[in-house]
Amino acid sequence: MGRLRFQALTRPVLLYILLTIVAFFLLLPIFWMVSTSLKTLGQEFDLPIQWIPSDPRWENYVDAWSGGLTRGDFARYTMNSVIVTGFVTILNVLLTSLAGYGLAQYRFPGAQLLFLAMIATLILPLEVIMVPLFLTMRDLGWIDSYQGLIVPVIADAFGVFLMRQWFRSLPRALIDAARIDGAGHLRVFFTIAVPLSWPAILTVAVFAFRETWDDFTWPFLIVQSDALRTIPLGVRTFQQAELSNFPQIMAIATVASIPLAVLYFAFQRYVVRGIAATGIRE
Amino acid sequence: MGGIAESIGGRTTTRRMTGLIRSWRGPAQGYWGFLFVLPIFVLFIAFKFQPILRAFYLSFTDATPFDPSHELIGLRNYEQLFANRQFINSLGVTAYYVIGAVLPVVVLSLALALLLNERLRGMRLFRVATFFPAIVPIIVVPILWQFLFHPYGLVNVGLGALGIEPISWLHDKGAVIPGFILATDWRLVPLFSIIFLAGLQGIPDDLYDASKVDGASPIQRFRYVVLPMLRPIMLVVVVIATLFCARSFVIAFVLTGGGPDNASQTLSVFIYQAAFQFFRVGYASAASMVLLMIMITVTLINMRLFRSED
Repeated sequence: MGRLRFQALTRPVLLYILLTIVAFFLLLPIFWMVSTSLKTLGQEFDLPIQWIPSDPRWENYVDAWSGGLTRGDFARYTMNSVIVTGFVTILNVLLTSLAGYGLAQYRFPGAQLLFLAMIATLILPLEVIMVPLFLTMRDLGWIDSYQGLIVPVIADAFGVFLMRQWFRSLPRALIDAARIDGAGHLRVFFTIAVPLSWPAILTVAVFAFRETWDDFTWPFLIVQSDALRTIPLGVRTFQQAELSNFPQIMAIATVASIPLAVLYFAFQRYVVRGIAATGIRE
Repeated sequence: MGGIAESIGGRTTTRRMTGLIRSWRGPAQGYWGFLFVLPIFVLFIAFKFQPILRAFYLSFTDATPFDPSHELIGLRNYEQLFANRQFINSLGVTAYYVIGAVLPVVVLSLALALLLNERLRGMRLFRVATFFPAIVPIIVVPILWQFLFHPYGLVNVGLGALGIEPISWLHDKGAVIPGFILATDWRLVPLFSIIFLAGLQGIPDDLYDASKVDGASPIQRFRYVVLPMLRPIMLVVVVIATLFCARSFVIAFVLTGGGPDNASQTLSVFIYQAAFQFFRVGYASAASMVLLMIMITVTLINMRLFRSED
């Protein structure tokens, strides 16, 4: 009897309390970031902490965004991020789904080897190859260029893996039927396979978008001119220029956090599915 | 069992046979399959495989970024590397950071996933709220934590409320890696709890019900039903978290740049500095090879761990 009552009443209450504490601590740094972004310079360490500034300084956002010579041009950086991420995402989705389809629906000598070679790069971080990749960019004359920001980033084994898994589950009969009707291989891919695969394609697209939009290290290595900086580089430059102007640094950090938050809310299912897929081996 | 593990492990003979038979259905088919894979494979060759081979080759040379001519110098880079106290230090820093960050990630993200898996009203809200640190841009993580770790920052304010003396997080050799671990896990725990949550939701309800009928306590249920079912996922989490931390560049580079006194100089920061600040490409490549070996070893050990269970 006592246990039953514990189950029915106390347990949910305890769980809510626990969840609230956990969420509170995880969100606290973000609250502080946003709250600081609305404070006047010099007030950011005042005690007791004013979580909601009595006199919010929205100008911090205007000042930070409008930048200036040393602080950067965030409209430009945003455009660069959109261009780079857009190209990478589209090309990544196109090429990984082609490859996944080829590997799943065809048998050819060496297919397994090609797949394994690509999958093996999942454990290959940029940090291992950053030096020779930089030299390769130099050889191609791609340092400080859009090509350099885009092309080396497209190849990603995760997309190949996910698309192959998906296309393996497509009914073979459907593909064969279309082919017997005389449709060409590419035509079958684009008119039969792709329309059936939007969940997988969106998952890969959202994943590629997130990774590219968020990447700091590669752009940092090959971008030299201000005109090519992406948002993460802009944030870093701004922080270095402002050093301890925390309200404005936090304002720019908040702004920089918005796009991925929007992506998460718009495509929550696909964001979660992509992350979960990195752990599921089915 | 499918996916990466199976692909690496190969298939059963029967499936290999059907594969062979299929490939005889017509030569044009196989040809097309190859064509479909080709475009991305070319990119893999150019921007993944070629750089690895090049790093391997360069690690035996005295190359610099500017001068295309270089000489083979045998193992001298590796000899210098392992005689360099700073390099040995960076190996130690990386190991400390990886082990210190990964163990709590596994425990805490599983705990969070168990909480988020409860059937309660408004759980969706908690799932969204606790996921937030995972969607903060990676560059914002060190910048935000630099502020949190400020001598008068929120972390020290919180410690002060508990009666603990303020800590000089980023300037104290003993505190800097624990600080990194705090910042890293703040971001990784929400991320990996999603993977565990997906795993928990994949456990069939019958298993829970059966264990309930058998009178198992929640703790027994966790020990004998949940944990064994999550074992494969747990090892994937260990691998991904380890790889993430072992390569971690942004957090160390932006938060401290390796300081104070190299106390937070991780291997990837060492590589970056050797190549792009001291312009020793061959030397940096040798360090990259060591990092690659570590990655491979960690992955193989973990794959062995879970294959022996299958």
